[in-house]
Amino acid sequence: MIVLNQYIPLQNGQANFIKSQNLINNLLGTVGYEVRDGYVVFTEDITSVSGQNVNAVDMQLVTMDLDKYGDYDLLPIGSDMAAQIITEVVGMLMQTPPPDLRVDSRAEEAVNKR
Amino acid sequence: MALVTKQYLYETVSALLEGGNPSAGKKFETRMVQAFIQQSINRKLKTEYLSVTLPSDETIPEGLVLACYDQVPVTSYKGLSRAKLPAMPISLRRNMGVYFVGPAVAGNISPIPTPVTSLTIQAVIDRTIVVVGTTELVIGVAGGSTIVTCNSFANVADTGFTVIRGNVPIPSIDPLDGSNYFTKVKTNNYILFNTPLVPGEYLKIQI
Repeated sequence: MIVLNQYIPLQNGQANFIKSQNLINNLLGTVGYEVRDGYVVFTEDITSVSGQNVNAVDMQLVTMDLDKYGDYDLLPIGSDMAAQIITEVVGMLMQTPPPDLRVDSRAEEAVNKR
Repeated sequence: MALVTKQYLYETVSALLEGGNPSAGKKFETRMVQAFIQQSINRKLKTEYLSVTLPSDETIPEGLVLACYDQVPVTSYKGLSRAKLPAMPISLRRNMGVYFVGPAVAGNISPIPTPVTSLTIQAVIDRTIVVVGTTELVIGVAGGSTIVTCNSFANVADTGFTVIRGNVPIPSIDPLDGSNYFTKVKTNNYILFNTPLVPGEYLKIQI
């Protein structure tokens, strides 16, 4: 099998059409994909191709510039990515507290209460 | 799963910064927090602006960006395999919204730089590869031969395409040294080079 750095984009229904053509039905050893119902469906099971076992792919999607999204528009990010973004922004904006030189802060608190 | 919006991110970040007390005095202006959120998203998605005019002379709306999504899981599906789109892309012609899909594992990759949406065929001599244009197949590109067969040749005018050969990077224009000269007989689906093809040589056909 030829290993490419990208899979071959097919229009919907084209994979079935190509299957019927003897000369090209295996896309000359490459893997194609169609986009259907929110999924990228590959022309073969790339998770079980011997020697490759691809369990993840990289994608580039065309989306709108973030400036164009309103406050309540759905952003093109998943919830896992949202958690990372929140953590990152909080980490950037969170002020670092001054170092606490006391060994055990609870001890002094107890003294003051008396 | 929460719907991820700018407002949702802003409110969550604000709640964390203010210790969960919404009545506490605000330390940061709303715009500043939103700017940081936007920068963070851009960094995560590695966004870059998309050219308004594509190599195929098509134009697409302004204000679109390419967003990268790494390590999208692939699962088996009815004898094939599939990957869920991590976000809904913009709907463009020929499913161009999904601009690129490739294996996440680097290594053993044939580096053939080409835009997905152009009708460009690139083939390596003695190792035929169809990169884009699924109906544009180059067949029988063998070293020592002078013939290159391509399905689409029969459908275009004799001067309706360019052919450039050479090593990578393939020159963008004909070097005019005679190495690119070829003959095409009208309505035939092959071209005939003047000199034999050499293994390892690349071929670029633009229709």
